Amino acid sequence: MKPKAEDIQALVGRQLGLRGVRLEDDIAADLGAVSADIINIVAALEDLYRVVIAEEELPEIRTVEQLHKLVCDRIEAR
Amino acid sequence: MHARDFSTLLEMIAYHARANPKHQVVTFRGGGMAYEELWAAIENFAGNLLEGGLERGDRVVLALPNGPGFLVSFYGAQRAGGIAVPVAPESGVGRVADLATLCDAVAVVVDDNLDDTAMGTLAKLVAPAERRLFTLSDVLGWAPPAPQVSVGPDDVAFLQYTSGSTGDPKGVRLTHQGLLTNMDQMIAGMGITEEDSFVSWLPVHHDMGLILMTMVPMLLARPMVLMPTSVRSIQGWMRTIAEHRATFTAAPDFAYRLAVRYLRNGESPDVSTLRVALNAAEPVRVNTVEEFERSFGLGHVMAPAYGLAEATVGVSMWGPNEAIVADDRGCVSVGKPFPDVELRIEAEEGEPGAGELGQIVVKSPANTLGYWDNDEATRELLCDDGAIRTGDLGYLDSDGNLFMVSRIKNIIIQAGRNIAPSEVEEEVEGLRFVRRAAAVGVDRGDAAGEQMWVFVEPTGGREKATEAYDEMVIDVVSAVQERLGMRPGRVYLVEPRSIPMTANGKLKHAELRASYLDGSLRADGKILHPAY
Repeated sequence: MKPKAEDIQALVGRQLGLRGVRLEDDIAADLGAVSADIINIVAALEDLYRVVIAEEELPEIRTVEQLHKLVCDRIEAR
Repeated sequence: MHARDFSTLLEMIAYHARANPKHQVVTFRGGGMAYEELWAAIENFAGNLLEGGLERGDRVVLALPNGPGFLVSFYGAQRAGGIAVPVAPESGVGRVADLATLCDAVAVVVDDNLDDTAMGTLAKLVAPAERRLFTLSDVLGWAPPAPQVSVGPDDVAFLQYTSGSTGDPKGVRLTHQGLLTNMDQMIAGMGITEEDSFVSWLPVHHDMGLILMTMVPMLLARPMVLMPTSVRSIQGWMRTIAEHRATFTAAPDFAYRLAVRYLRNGESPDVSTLRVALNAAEPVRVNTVEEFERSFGLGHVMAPAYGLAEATVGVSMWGPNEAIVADDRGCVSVGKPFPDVELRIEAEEGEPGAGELGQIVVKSPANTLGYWDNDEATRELLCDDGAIRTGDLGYLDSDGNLFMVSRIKNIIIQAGRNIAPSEVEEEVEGLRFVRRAAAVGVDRGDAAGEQMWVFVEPTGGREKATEAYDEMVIDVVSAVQERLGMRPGRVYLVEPRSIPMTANGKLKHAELRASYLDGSLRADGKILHPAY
């Protein structure tokens, strides 16, 4: 089943220790995530939704919304 | 030029201020500082510390980011006869104040951009012990009389705090003599010449970034480009090397993995001038070396190396100019010891033969004489002949090449930084809802490398609402971030009494990690939150 946007927001919030994460937030610029944080967010998504996100795709992802879309696309393609 | 030509680091800088006054010591954010400017600023800062009552051997804590201001404060404290104590500037003010207490510092220097709240909190924390609090612009802005203090080779230049697996961080005492000796060892062992030029984003508050990447270039009066320490800097790292035609750089393995990834974004800086890309401070992966050299079209430039603060910093290095060697475990050799460094392996039953595992023991004239104000830890560290027990497990092959296999000490190495699980656990256990916490290092084999994972037993057992659990996880992550300036890779809330302990109440970190990795912790229903 595809995740709801708020599930992704909650996951990002848990990983970064932040409340009130919004869909439009830029994960690095607005939420202060460094590379390792982004890798850890992706690892958590992979574990939870049983998807694979390649390292090459990471630079493409800027916002929480893009992250949500990527996970949904990946689940749909399964 | 040899470091042994000088008796102290200060003499080395004073020499260049006379011989090469206009020569740029450091390039930082497009600007920089010449030797004569640096020396004048060092004298200023020292004069002010002395006017403020600093006495010989007094400690000065420096919580400063990369930049010329660090160099001024670091050597200024020494010039006044004091001992510099660098700490990670991203640490929370609580941690800075704790370190100031540990070494009983007389002064603390912080960056100008520390916000008012943090500055106020720090001022309150250091006030009862009458420690003076300066900002970097205070340090750079004064002009008192020149100091009249003589500093000798056996004086302690700085304390390098390192995290042990238990107890408080320990301050490794590093003398001018030991530092100069290790600089010569590294220059000879790494084949550094007066043609080399250096680019580094490594933190100057820590030994590899400080000694190898700033002191060595200063000794040789060679170009040194310093970048801010942030993972973001890694993005511009190779570009900076290309721009300055640098020949020497150093970083932990994860940084080279990230450099390769950024290359995939389409950029391809020409770093063909690079002669040595030293890889140390966390396990070297064969893949990283191969991908880095292939992606940037380089020969064998990557040089896996080994070192530790207790030996000043550098102990051994592989290559460069030779293909790396890895054993069946995938463990990459860190080469042969530098000149005047002897390595031996000690097991419970005497000295093992070639290829047999034991504790790596280092004998070197650059070894520390011990920790600051901690005789018990010093006794554990030093052998009768002055050699140091590294706490690392490894072996020597039949050619005398060192392989560092794992750590005996329970330490987490995240992004090249040593983190004591006990420091994380203490911080997390300070949260009102936490009954017990355990931090372990987990390496999933991805680009992040080893990360700290924190397991937390909340008080009160099972909650119903996911939101309540989320709140707890957020509090744990932000507490760790506030203290250390870095986030855990993952936080798990677990059932009460599911963190394994010994009969006398010691956490069994290895057992906890194993039960997580083999899936039994989850299968036994011990993980409350989150569901991945």
